[in-house]
Amino acid sequence: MVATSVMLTFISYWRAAAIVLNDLASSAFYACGISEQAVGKSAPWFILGVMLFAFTVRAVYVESCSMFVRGGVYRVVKEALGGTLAKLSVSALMFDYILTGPISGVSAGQYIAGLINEILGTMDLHGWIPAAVHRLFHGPPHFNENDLAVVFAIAVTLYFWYENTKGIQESSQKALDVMKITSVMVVVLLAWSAITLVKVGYSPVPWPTPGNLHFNDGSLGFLKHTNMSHYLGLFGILIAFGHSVLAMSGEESLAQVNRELAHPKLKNLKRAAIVIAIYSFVFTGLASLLSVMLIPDSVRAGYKDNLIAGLAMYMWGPHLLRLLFRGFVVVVGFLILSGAVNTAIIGSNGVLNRVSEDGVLADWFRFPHRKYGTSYRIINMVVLLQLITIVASRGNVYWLGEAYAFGVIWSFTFNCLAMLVLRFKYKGVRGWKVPPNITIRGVEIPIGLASVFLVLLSTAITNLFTKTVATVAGISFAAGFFVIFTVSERVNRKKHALAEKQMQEHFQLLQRDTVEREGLGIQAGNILVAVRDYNTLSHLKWALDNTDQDVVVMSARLSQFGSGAYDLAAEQIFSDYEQTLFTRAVSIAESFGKKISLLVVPARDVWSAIVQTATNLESSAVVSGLSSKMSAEEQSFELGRAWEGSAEPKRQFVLQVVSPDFVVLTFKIGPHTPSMKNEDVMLVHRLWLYLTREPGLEALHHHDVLTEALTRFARDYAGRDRDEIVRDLRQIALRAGGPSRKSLDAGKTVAVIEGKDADKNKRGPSDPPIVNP
Amino acid sequence: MGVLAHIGMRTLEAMFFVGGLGSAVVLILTTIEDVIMLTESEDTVRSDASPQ
Repeated sequence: MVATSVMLTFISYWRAAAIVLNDLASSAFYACGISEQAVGKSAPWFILGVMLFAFTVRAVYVESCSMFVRGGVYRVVKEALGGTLAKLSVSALMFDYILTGPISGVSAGQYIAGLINEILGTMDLHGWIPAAVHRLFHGPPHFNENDLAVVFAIAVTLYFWYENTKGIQESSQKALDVMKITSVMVVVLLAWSAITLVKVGYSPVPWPTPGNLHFNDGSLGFLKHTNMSHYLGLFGILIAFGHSVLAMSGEESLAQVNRELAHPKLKNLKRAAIVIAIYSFVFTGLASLLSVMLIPDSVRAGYKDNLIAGLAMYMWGPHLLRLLFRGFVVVVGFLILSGAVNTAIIGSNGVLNRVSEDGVLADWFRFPHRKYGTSYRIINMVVLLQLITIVASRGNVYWLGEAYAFGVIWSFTFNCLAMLVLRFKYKGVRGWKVPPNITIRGVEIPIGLASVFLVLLSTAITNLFTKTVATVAGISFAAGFFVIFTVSERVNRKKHALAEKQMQEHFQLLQRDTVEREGLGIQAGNILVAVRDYNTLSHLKWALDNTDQDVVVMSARLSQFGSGAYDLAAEQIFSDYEQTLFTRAVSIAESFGKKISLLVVPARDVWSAIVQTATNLESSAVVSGLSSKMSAEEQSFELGRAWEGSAEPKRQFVLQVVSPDFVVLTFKIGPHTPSMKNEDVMLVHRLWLYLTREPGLEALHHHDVLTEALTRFARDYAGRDRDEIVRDLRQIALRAGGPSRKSLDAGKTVAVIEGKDADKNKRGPSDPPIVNP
Repeated sequence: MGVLAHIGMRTLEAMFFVGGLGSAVVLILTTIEDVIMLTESEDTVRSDASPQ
């Protein structure tokens, strides 16, 4: 059976907004510097204009998310625009995602390098640098900021390559924490800037009129050698707008978090969009404006790649305080920009996985890592492309920004065009539409959507002529991916036809919205066996060997953050990999002469998926193999935490973790009677004996003693004795073998059952699956 | 400057201008919608908090 509803852990709109802002707000650190180099001092007005226009682009993404369609971005765009444009659209999106990493990494490196040089300069001014260091640097110590930025960007990219290969989870809590720190910085920045404006005054920012635009040699691109630059009127404004458009990069992340939003989804999506819009307008827009107003013209060029750090240095107040604030800006920049490097890898991996599921990228790319189960080939390819880009850029943020803008504007344009066409083609459910729309003779004309598209298309076409680097790099990249997609699609078409035939012969695919016991035809108290890697199915053998209950083999089809705005279609959920996995599972069951039910569920988080499935199926036990990444205790801890986070009604079950040599550890999941030591049982018994001798307490039970003791304990803990109790318990924990956070936390919902398999070398367990705990 | 290039430039300007005006309308309408939505949700919270 294939469940088509995703088993997600839902997040609030604040967390969703934080995830998007981690990407979107990071552009505040480099957008204005790049724009000012291209168009001159009036750049902040264009950034503000782009941020206002971003409100409308956001509306397009809200409409696209409100459509109930299944499949990846390729399928949806193909539905609207056909295969060729869909491949170009995905190529542009990939260019956008891949370039996010290098520009964020290099920009973070520029901020760090700038701070190091500033500190060295200050130390030198005070004579704190030894003469030997002067001799080493042939003068005052100073690092080449571009070189340092390249080294930093490479280091950060390699770090996140390793983390993604291992399969880190995108944490909305981490994103929220980063945004909290960023908000503190933004508030201090704006407040201090306001004081500085009053105390020191400001340099006016020229209005965004054609006369005030000062394009450099590179910003006219292919038009430089024509006489078109003499005719610049509104076209000049359009060119400047095109050079500022990367300020709204990261907008596409809104679609990626849509699937995880809590109910009511559309309302929360709109709320998240409002938070994102206001925050990015205030931060990116106002920080750009203040930078040009407060940093003197004569020195601003020196801060072109770390403009907010420059702004910190030209606040009103003592130098040391400004330097400290600059340090804070750099820390925040490091956090948010490094996060964007990670998001770029996760997003690229997610999109390419979806593209592969859509059939336009060979399955070879999705082959899971032997140890970690991640799609490491895609991750390797993405990171390799990012490293090449970083080295090719030589730390030049302007160059990277030019190229990045190509991906940003074209992916927005294709998405908007697809939405425009789907207004006429798609007749299914749509939660919301970009206003205004007028109906003429029964035909709805999407005026708002068409207007946004016109702005995006005119900007994208203009950029083709004015951004040489972007056009050459973007077209080369898109062409490369286009060829890969086209060849892969042809190969896959033949292969999928064969696979479909085989699947029809071997499996009867039942598609259900939700997982239900009746659908599988199984009894309550069944055993749920979680599988993922077809090379490690020893726990399935163990479960089949030791149980008479119904066995359900479940595979969670993980789609992490960044994997797309739409849910997977049934045939995408049950892919080649699931087919191989289940074929092996079936052959194992056949060797035991037993019947198994097969289940594949799409999920965001494997632990939540197991808990929800076990609850829905009324399973008595979950059997899992020992993870290569974590211990059995850690597995039970994660499952216990997912159990705590799952919605009511939920039921208790046991988790049995089976190692390859058939050693079994059993844990109770959910609230349960704790295991009691013999001396504690004796103590309760002795107390009961004494108490029953009291008049009127003859009928007292053992559990009454425990109830009274626990009630008193709770009262003492809530009162004055809290510290004493905690101190005593710490000593007990220490005596028990040290305070392990996970084991202590896990104790809330998980307990190891005493008497686990004693003979570890024996094949076969002494600890069969437990029924109805 | 070639006639074609001139026509192309003016076409892009026209697209940008018309699209810009339309986008301003989108911005105003969505902002009004957002304000109404936020006000509605506040009312709901209030009525939930103090059911009469």
